[in-house]
Amino acid sequence: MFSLRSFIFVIKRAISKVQAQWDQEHNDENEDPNDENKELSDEDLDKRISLLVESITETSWD
Amino acid sequence: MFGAIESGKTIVFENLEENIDATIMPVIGRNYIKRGGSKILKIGDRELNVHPNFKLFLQTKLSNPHYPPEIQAECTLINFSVTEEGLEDQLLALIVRLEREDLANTKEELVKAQRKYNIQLSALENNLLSQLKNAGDDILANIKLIENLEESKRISDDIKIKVEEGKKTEESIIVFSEKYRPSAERGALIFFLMNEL
Repeated sequence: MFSLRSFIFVIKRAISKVQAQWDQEHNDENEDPNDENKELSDEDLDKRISLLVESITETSWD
Repeated sequence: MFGAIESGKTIVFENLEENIDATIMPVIGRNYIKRGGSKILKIGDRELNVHPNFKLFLQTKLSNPHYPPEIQAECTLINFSVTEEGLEDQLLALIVRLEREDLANTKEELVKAQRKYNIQLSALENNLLSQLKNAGDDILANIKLIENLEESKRISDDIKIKVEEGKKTEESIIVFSEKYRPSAERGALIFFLMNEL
């Protein structure tokens, strides 16, 4: 049985990968680096959710 | 185990199979004899004084265990196994907390506030009932009581407005959180796929 606790850790890692990648790509556009929890446009939110799905799939299989 | 029964400690039997050792059956069945103010348990040729704090937990990793009716009747069953739907909701909450901590915190505060409002309303009701009970024969002549009733009504109306506002905010947070559902769905799906491999 695959441990649920380890899996939650994997999910957290998958999310942090997306956040790091996103911050890197959008660093230049974001004038205020302390502006956390910034609301994304619908388009950006869809893109971010797709990245999350992808990252969860890849990180879990790894 | 004898020591734990007499000193009031907790015992956990882990990874049980379907066959349970017959020696612990008197404990599971609570076959106590009352003697004076205490409970006596007879196991084999020993008589044990059962401490009121003694607890017994039986744990199994079997997904669908079959235990005899006498065990099922004596135990409280708690199912900790993960379901796909349950895991999906758990992952959704985790993802939203990591992605939008502000919304997760607002939702948490709303839940706390709702609880506080319910307690306030209940206290108001109790207070009103108590005042009415002790109001005497002519309620209308009791100015203090009428003032208190008006004040209670005002507080109750305020709480209702706050509850309605809270509900609207909570609904908007839920609608936003649902957008992350596909990522939670994928996570839960992979977890169960991996367990079946």
